[in-house]
Amino acid sequence: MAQQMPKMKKLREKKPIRFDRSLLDGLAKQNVVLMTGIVNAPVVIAATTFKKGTVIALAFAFISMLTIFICSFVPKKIVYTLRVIIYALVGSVIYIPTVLALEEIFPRTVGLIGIYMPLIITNALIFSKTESRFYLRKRGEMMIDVFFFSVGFGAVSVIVGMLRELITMGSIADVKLAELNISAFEAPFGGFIMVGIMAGAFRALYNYARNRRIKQNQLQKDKNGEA
Amino acid sequence: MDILVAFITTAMTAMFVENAIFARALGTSVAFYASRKTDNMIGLGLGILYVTTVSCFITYWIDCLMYENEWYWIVMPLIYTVVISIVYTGTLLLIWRFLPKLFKSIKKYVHLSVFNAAVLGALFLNEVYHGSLIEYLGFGVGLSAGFMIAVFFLHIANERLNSELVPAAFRGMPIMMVFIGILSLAFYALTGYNTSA
Repeated sequence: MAQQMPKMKKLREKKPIRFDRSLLDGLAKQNVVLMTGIVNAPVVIAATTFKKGTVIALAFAFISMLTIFICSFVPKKIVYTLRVIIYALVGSVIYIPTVLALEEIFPRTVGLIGIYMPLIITNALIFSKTESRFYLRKRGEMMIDVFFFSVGFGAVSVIVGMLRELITMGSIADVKLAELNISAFEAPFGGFIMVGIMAGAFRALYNYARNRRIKQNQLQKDKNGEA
Repeated sequence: MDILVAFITTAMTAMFVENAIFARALGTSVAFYASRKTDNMIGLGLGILYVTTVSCFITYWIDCLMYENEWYWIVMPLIYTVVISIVYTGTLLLIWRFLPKLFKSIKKYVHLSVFNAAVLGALFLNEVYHGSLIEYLGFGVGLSAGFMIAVFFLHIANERLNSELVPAAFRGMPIMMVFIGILSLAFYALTGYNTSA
């Protein structure tokens, strides 16, 4: 009993999740589409309408979160060169219930996304970020981190889908809003150019906000020093 | 002769009309990584070419058996992942056994040339078009060669697109995406332009 006590104490000490700013990195600072560009094929090619953008966002979140969670139990003793096989296999198993559920909710949209739906299983969040970031954290923190990375991707996917639907058909979620018909933005080159410009504008905004915050903090520090 | 013509035609279509990067955005992030260094470009390109071609050969027979099955599209990613994993493990074991020096040098990035959207995408597209064995192989070779061509273009532009000539916010990935978009527009024209209408 006495021996068990320190063990229990250790476990309890391990439990609390430290919620720091870095857990929100996936939203803006390390957004996988606009900042790092490590996942962009589904957004560039398939997110051409609001509905498609939403389906891609949901599929990405379900597949990535579940795969990363399950694979976090894979022993690190297995070399990474072989561990990736397990990640890929788990991802493709998770894909089955995900696509069946989405097919029930969005019956026609899933088919329209085509090969970009199963390609989500090879996303860089599962194959690169797991080793360099997620698996270095406690499991609870890791899941919050993955959640915000998925939200960051999902937001961009939905916004790009919405903008492209508006530009190419003058509607959002099938609701006609304007007489627009610039079909070029439905093509891959339109997707590349739009995402590229969005990424540049987002980075400029992010850098501006960060520099302003740093300046304000510096001013505050100086004031405190004078006082 | 007919076999050779079918192979070349499919390979050319996959290389220029269905280009992995410019027309399909398959493996764009890997292409960004590969375009930074000449060594990466050649190593990853050859890796993708090898895995895609061998996997296309195997999946052709699986597709022939399962094509009519109503549920095939749902389990297809799992089957293709198993095929790619077998090719990957088998090849790694052979390299580890017979070429240990090469194994050490490729160990860090070998998974990138196997588990990426370009390889899996080639298999999915082959299943969609469902041609003959020669067309499967031609498409695999063509798509991988198209990927290498795209990476080569990105490699040439890499230095300039990362230079101070480009505004800081657009430097790197954003301007690279716009550059791919412009090249994609040029490749798009290869699908045909009719002046009669």
